[in-house]
Amino acid sequence: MALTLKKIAWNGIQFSIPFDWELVSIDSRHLTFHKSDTPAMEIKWGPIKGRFSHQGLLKKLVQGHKARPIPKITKWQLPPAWTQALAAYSAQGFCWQSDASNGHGATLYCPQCKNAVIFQFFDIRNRLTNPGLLQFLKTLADHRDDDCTAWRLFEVQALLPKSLQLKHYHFKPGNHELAFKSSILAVKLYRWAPASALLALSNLTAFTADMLQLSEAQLSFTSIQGNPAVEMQPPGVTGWHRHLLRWGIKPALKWVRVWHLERNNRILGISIESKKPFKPNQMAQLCANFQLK
Amino acid sequence: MNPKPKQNPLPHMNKQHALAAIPVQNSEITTEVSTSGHLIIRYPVALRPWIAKWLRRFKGTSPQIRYRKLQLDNLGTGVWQMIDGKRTVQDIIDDFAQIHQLPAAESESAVTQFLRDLGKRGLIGMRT
Repeated sequence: MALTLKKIAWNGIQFSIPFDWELVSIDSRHLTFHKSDTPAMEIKWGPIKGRFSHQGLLKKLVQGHKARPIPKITKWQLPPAWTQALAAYSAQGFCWQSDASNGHGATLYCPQCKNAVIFQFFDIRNRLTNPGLLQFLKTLADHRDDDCTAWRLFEVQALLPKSLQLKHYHFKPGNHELAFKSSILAVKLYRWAPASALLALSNLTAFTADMLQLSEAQLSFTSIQGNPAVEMQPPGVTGWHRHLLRWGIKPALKWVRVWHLERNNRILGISIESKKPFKPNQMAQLCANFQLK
Repeated sequence: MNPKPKQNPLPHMNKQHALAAIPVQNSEITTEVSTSGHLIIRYPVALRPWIAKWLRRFKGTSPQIRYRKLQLDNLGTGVWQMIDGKRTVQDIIDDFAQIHQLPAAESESAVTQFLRDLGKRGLIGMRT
């Protein structure tokens, strides 16, 4: 039977996991997955400044561990299938055992991007070469070569320039929002559902104005990839105003697009704020790279 | 001083048990439909003793029960109508996901939060 996987991409890291694993906690650089309501895997990552040591990373992790008592963590020889899958990294295995549970994982260091990753699987003592685990190891990547960052969680996927850093996010029922910021740009991605209920007593213009605190008069009707959409275009900027914009503390120009995917019963939206005049195709590029999975 | 009566601890319930429970509407509530098609639930609220005392002193009456109204949106109305005393929480989650084309996890989160809110107001009970 073929193994069904789902792809995850979040803040620089990407991998595939078995389809029945559910994401239960999200932090900017920490994800935890459960399978049938029991912990299955957790992963943390981040950039390393200065020299890297596997022991140092483990020690730091133990110090930050809140639950007591802390089980004793010991070095563990990675199985050959793991070593092969993690050949691109400097890897070291670790394991621990408590009364109720056990964990097997590894600390990884990528010499190319200078990122460290630490992950552990729970209660897998007899399933160390389970196909689902091996697929995770084989697909794990902590950097991309195209100067972009992939984002793929729950229903949404986006590919954004690396310069845009995650500022905040929420995945509430019916409303997903991801906000990013660079020195010049602030980008927000929205996903609302179910569209049929949200637009039952309203229309896309009124809904967008309400959700993004805009005036309906600012919005014009348009179409994106054949889907009904509304847009608030940025004002034209010329002369001295163009130079003054860069000195403002907050971005002064705003461009908004919200479109209705009728077939999927979803509404997607992008809002960009900038200190510099927008490139003509800037919104179109973002729209093309922001989709439902 | 009378010692505080010892409360029975709540029975342990895991997620499977909770999803298998059947929500039941409170028989003391009445419903009406607003002009916008949304459901309005009228439900009784017991007055706090100090409010009843205050009303008795200043108004001369002390109603033991007052009624409040809760207007549901179209999603809430849909879920309320699924609470028929037969469907389990899991059935409602599945039906809600199917009707609105939502992922199972998102439907579960939305429906359980809504049922929890209804339970806190005493509008529903759970039959296990």
